[in-house]
Amino acid sequence: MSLRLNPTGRNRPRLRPQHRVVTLTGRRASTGDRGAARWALDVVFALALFAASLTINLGVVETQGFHPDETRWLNRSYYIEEVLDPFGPTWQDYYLTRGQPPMGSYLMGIGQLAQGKSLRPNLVWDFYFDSNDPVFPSSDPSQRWNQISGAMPSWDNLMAGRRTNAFTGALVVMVVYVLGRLLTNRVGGIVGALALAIHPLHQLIASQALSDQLLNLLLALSCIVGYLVMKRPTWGRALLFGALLGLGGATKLTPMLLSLPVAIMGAFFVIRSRFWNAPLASRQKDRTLGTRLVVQPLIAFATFVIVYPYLWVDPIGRTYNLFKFRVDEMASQAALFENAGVGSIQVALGRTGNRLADMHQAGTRVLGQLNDVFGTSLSISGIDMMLGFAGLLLFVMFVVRNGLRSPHTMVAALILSETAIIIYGLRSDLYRYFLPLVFVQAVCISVLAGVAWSTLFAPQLRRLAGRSGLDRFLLPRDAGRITAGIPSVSPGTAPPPRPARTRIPRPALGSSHAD
Amino acid sequence: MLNPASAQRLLILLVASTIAVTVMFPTVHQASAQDESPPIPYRAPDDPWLVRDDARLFSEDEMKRFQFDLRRLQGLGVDVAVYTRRADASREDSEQFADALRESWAVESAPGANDGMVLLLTVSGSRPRASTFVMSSGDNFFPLGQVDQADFDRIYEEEVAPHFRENRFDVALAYALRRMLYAADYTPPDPPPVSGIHALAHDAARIGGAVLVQAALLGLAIVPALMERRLTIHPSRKTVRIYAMVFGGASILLALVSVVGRSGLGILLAILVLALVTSVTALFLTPAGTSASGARRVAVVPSERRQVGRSLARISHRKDRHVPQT
Repeated sequence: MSLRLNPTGRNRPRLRPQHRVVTLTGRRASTGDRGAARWALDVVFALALFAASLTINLGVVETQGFHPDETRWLNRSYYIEEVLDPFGPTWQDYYLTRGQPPMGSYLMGIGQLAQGKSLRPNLVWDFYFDSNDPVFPSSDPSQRWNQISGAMPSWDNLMAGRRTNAFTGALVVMVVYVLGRLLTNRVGGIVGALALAIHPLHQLIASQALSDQLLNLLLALSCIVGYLVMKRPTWGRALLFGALLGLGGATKLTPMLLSLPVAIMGAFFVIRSRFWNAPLASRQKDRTLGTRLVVQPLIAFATFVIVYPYLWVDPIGRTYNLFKFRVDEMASQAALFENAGVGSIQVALGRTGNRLADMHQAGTRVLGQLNDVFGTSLSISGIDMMLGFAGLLLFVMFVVRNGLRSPHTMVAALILSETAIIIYGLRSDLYRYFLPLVFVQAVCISVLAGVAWSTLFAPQLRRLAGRSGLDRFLLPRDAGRITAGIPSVSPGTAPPPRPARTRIPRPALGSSHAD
Repeated sequence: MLNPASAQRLLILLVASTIAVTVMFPTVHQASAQDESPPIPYRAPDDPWLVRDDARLFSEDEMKRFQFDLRRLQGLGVDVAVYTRRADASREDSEQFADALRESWAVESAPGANDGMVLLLTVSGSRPRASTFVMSSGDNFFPLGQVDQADFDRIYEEEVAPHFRENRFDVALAYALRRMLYAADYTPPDPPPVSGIHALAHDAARIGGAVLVQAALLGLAIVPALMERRLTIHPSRKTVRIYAMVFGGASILLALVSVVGRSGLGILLAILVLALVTSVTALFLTPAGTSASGARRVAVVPSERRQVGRSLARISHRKDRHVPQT
């Protein structure tokens, strides 16, 4: 058995002649019913994964422990109606508006409206009165200041907020399937989505009324649109890409910073198109792609400002305030909870390993189930991270093999940049901050699973199925191929022989035109 | 024995003394009553404590907690001090005392700001029901965020007074301080008044927005008429582009003017126009690549025009390698 790491990459030895089917105008030929069936299959898989994840999330919504942060997001539900008064008091410069960008609050508000709940379910939770309060020293939490002063939402409102987030978390799983499908194949998509759906940290946050799942959703969508931009860099896609990065920024700030590496990539392509001695078509592609990417910070920032009325009167100054406030908040969290403080990148890496390889692991859960079924006592620590790293290595190999202009490069750049931003900016070890890394891990696992399927299992299965004549029913059409998004092969049809090059004979030196 | 003259003088002296004492007594009594008004307790200017518990109502932990809350308020620009005393004083007397205390202690953010507050808890030993909780605030203390004097009076009646009447002084004070903290920290200030250039932009945005919406609607007919000399519901690409550029640009300009003038209506109208332009563009501006002829656009860098022929030859050569599916 031979291991083919890049079966659809360039310079691949083609045992069977394959070629793309295109029309004379260069467009892909329609794949007809087969293409529609493939789409339908993908839609079915995506919806099934969404339903599965939603079921899992909703199953723990009522039993999940309460976190005071949930009250903050519910409290700001009313932002969605305050958008209609963009110069009103809500958008003045004060603690709450400065505290968090508004997308999560908008999402909560939409969720509350959709479920017929109040947009002002509770007052602000004051963390200063959570502990060491001699005036309300009751051991019963329901008799403490925040609970009796109206900062605790009612059970119905809390559940409504949690259901909103459970829905968002399920959407993330669905989008991860699509991303994995684009990057590798269906198996990769399914495994990546399942790895996310059953991840304890994903479930924990998807069953609390927080905004972090929205961050993951926008990150995943940004990756997909980034992939599509690299594939066909139209202005429409570029605008959508920048808008998603801006919306991500309006959720948790960090995704807006992703526009910077994207712009650097764009600048690189523009410069390369000017100075690189390459064929015209290649330079043209570089220039087109580069111009679409280099403007991403502007588009992202414009979107960020547009959706956040607080910034309208002073976009740059108040954006600076926002970032400064977040840094200060993290520092104060670290001061309040001494054990949570993160002083350096080394510590941040250690905490990340502790969180993802020890405290929150999907692999442990799967192993536990297997142990229950088979009566074994297997225990492997850090299995998620190991799989993730293996997937990341394969991902990097894709990038190296497919070139800088490949869609894989963009997705890799996005997820690696997000990881770097989180680890570099981590000042407080709070469980929520690691959720984007769970998404990154799921993407890497999807790559690993997709490659493993296409290189190890699919050929064997195809051979077995071929012998039994079931290959047409059992295997997806793209089994055995990594980039399933590049379709339309017609196996067995040999390309026509290349026309022989005819050289126009040059007149011999010295011959006279007069002849 | 006294002679009659001496006795008469003594009698006159006694009567005069009696009259004098009778007449003077109220004045003396009044003066001593004035002297009995409680003195304002001294507070050193550098005293870090903002709560002074002469009545011994609070525990040490509670004092620290209140001090922390008062410091927090001070950090938010709200100066508040607390004083407790034991006295048999009417509410009016306590109010006067609290005002005097606020002036004497200079409870304000800056000299002359008159924006501080003193909370005075007077506990009566003989008549517990006569205990009072008095709030003396400067003229510029309210509004506190979105909380004004009336709101705070309501908070007092609903949350502070009931606990105070039950002699739960610590809880009453906690409610008062924490509601103030809430107002100062978690409710927004009022927007600044629109004046000067902002007022001008405000009016311009409202008027300009109304004009622009109408112009954009009429432009659906006027722009094709001007560009193509005909009325049509199938405008050319060029016409649609000009329409989009003119009205899209104008709507963005309107949005900027609205932001300067803080006009929500202007923003709304700008969004309306932008939505109209987007809809028109989406409806009438077909993508260039989907022309029925199947022609393909090939962009060429100006400096490389000479290579166009070669590039096209290469493209056609590449096409030859593909076989259409039959």
